[in-house]
Amino acid sequence: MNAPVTETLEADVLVIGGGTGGPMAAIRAKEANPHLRVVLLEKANVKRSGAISMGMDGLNNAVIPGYATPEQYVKEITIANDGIVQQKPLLAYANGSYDMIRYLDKLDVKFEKDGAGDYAVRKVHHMGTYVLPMPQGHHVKKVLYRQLRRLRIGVVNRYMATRLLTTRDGRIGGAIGVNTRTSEFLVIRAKTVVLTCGAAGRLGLPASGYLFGTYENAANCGDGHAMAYHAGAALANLECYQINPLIKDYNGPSCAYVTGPFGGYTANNKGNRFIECDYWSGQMMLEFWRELESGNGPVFLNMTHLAPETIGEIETILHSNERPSRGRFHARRGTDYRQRMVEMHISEIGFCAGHSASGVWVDERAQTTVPGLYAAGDMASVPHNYMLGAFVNGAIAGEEAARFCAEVDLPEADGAAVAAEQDRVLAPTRRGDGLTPFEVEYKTRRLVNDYLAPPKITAKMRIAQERFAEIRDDLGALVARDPHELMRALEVQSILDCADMAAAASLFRTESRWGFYHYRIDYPETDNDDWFCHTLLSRDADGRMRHRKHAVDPYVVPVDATEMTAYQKLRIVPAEAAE
Amino acid sequence: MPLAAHAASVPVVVDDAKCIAAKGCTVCVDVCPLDVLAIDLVRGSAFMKYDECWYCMPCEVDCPTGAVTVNIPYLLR
Amino acid sequence: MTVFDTDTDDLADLAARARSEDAGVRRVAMLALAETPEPDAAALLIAGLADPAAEVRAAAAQALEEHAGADVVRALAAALDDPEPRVREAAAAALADRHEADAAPLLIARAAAGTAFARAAAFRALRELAAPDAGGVALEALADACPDVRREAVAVLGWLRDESAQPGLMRTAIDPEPEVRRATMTALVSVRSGAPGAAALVAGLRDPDWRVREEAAATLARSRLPEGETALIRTMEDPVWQVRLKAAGALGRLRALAALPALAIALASEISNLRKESAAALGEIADPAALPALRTAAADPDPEVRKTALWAIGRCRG
Ligand SMILES: Cc1cc2nc3c(=O)[nH]c(=O)nc-3n(C[C@H](O)[C@H](O)[C@H](O)COP(=O)(O)OP(=O)(O)OC[C@H]3O[C@@H](n4cnc5c(N)ncnc54)[C@H](O)[C@@H]3O)c2cc1C
Ligand code: SF4
Ligand code: SF4
Repeated sequence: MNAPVTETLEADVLVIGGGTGGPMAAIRAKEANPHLRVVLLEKANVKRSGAISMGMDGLNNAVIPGYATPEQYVKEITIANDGIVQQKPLLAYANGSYDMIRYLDKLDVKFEKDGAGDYAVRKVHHMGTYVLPMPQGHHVKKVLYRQLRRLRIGVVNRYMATRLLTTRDGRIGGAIGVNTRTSEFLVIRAKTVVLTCGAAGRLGLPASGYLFGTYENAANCGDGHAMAYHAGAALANLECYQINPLIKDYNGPSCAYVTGPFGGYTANNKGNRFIECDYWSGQMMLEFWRELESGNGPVFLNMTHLAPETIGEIETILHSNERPSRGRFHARRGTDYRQRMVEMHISEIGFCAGHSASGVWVDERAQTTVPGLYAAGDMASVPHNYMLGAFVNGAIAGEEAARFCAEVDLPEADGAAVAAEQDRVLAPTRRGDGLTPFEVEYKTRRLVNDYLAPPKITAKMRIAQERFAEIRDDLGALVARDPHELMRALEVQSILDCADMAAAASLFRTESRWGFYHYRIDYPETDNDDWFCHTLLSRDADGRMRHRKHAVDPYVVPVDATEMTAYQKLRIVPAEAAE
Repeated sequence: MPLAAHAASVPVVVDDAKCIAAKGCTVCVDVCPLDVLAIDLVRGSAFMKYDECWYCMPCEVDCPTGAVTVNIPYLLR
Repeated sequence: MTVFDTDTDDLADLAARARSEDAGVRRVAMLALAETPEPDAAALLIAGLADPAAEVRAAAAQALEEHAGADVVRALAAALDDPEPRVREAAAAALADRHEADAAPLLIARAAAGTAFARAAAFRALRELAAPDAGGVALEALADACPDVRREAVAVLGWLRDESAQPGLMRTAIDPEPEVRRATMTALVSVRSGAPGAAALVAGLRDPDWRVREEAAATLARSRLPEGETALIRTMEDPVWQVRLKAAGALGRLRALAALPALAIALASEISNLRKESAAALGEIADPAALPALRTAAADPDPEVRKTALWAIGRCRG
């Protein structure tokens, strides 16, 4: 057999994933030290990749002086996550938030301003005020791409990273990628690697059954989580799933953040509000799910009471930014916001720190547990960081990586590891027949829905593990007839890794926590005595999944007991007894 | 296992009369995050090759001639 | 061979394509030049603005959004006079999104004379530059025949926060076009108490168009002008609930004790958004006299109203 075509590159900072946090990491690493060789590797094309491919219609978590303080923000996120947070990275984000907004503004990202040019922050509720609209936010990617070009950062599009390389002493050594159109390999030796591959968004199967009809950008299938895992990094709290409220079938955000300030709201079939919870959290999702399943279901987004002019304004924003095909979806079904409420549902499960809390474990410097490996954005463990968090933490990761470079030499590529990975990658191309990536992916994700989606049941999750093990054997029959199918075949393997991690992590934590996200029917109570801690999952020397508990660091922003309990009283306890 | 030949309807439609792929344009193919569009060299226009669409719309918005229309995939409609 | 996409396409090749016989090829070359950071690329695009084919000129104008510099601004400003609307519009869009302070003099000259389209676009581009020198032309433009020009000039003056512009804004506050009046209310946000513009803002609460009234109330909430209090309380009887809602918010921020009865009535509105905003306002005012009304609201069927009322009760108790 001929050796596969392989290019090699050397980099000081290699950033994998050119969506939101990735470009910012590359930009800041280069700005920190213009002499560094910074490479940005992207599976799609940086111009239009990732969650913000069509821009964004607002910041959900802007900490702007005069509207909210970093301490207030840290406190609210701590409460929303049932206390299980590392406050230091949260505070690092909150402290960097306003500077990042001004930096983005300088680069020409458009935020809403009032008549005198000040930021027009919108109040959403009586606690902190964090919403800064971006009615013209469709430009975000253009702005990032322009800055990458100006700084002459090496952008490599259409290469999918498949595995990280590590050195014998456990430090990061680079990565291997494969071209999604030619199947050529790229081996990048790098002193540092920043992972910004986004959420694991192709884990559950959307209710529509369409594999790519996911809430997340469907290119984000958990490659980053899988690569970090195989490189030995720890992943945190994976049992704390991401589940979002969304437009039924369309599976895109219903955008309470946009419509809320205009007066739109989430209602039950009686047209009444029903959400008690003040925070975007698993608790809110539990209330949402209960209402869906109750006689008051389904759930709707109601704008029928708004003035036509207001709705016109909402439509302009919603139909030009973020998920602009929304308008088309509604039109086909004859849903006019003026006359009909929009039916909503909840999304399939995924891992996403952007909206929830789980991911590759990082500290306040975006460092993972592997020296030289950093992570940021939806795939890293800083909770609720959304778009601005991906930018701020991406910047931190880029700057920290730039600093770390100065201390280390460029590692040699491990030839044996490269050869083994090339074998794994190319295996599906060496078969004439077998199982298609489509079939294996569909089955895996169907099983995720059947056995892993909450409410979680121990016996079902064990069955899931057995079935995933069978699918793991089936991977030996995967067949790919062209480079595109090969990309899908590799993605399936990441999806299966994430499915296994979701099952194992959910079984490990024998309590219920985070509302619907980790609602275990057979352990319905929250058990603070045993489980007021993070859970870390990693791969041991024998290649098996290992778990450990990790204590919650002492808070840097104290949350007094009454604030926590005031919130507890408002909540529905995740137990059958609640109703 | 042997493979079946499988047909699927695709949600993205390209108007051949407007497409200028023959003049060297590849914009829609370049921007698609799922990499599901391609150029038909014989017809000289773009088309949707794989039914794996996130209905996100960069292909339509960035097309310089307005040749692309993104429809919602049938299963979701 | 390079794997880097940001490496410049061969500029010589692009230049040749930009001069091709075939307009389609020239158009595609313009698209590629958007992504080429070299100044030579900008020069080719500027030449493209004079192409005989409108689609090439439009592509060039759009691509120039990615390039900076005085030459680029000058060429785009000239393209605002292109006979083809889509070229003009692309040029206007490319001018609007830049923060090049040294472009101000050129844009000011462009805003002073020419077609209404070009002048409105020049003002739009000037707004975020907040160049003090733009004040003069903007003031003059407040009497322009074209409403778009007046609206954009008003916005420029708002960003300048210049008190001497207020007499002019008092005139646009009673402009025949609702859009101009609304923009004026937005622009008056930095007006201080006692300044001439304050009266115009308060008078906006009685505008015949509800969206102007809504904007006036929203601006009063931001600027917290005490002279708005009485008019805002009267606005709590406005026929449009959206206006009442913004007035309630403003009264809360003003801590207007005299608004308690009006807000208590609004707590019983059939519009839950208004009930919630009124409860929040009563919480801001934090006066025990609001407690009876708030206690009723604490049993509201809407959870948002209930939660806000509970929070407000806590504040009224001190
Ligand atoms: C529909 C939607 C609406 C949202 N609305 C809002 C909002 O209104 N406000 C807000 O603040 N936040 C919002 N968010 C959240 C916010 O957009 C995300 O949190 C943020 O953009 C995540 O950034 P990221 O860099 O982690 O991931 P992404 O921007 O998704 O980037 C990940 C990148 O990695 C690439 N990649 C994946 N695997 C590989 C691989 N193997 N090799 C190479 N590259 C790879 C992908 O192609 C992608 O470009 C929304 C998210 C979604 C999905
Ligand atoms: S972007 Fe438009 S013109 Fe260009 S190849 Fe695609 S469909 Fe054709
Ligand atoms: S809508 Fe999005 S995923 Fe579908 S073809 Fe267009 S760019 Fe690709």
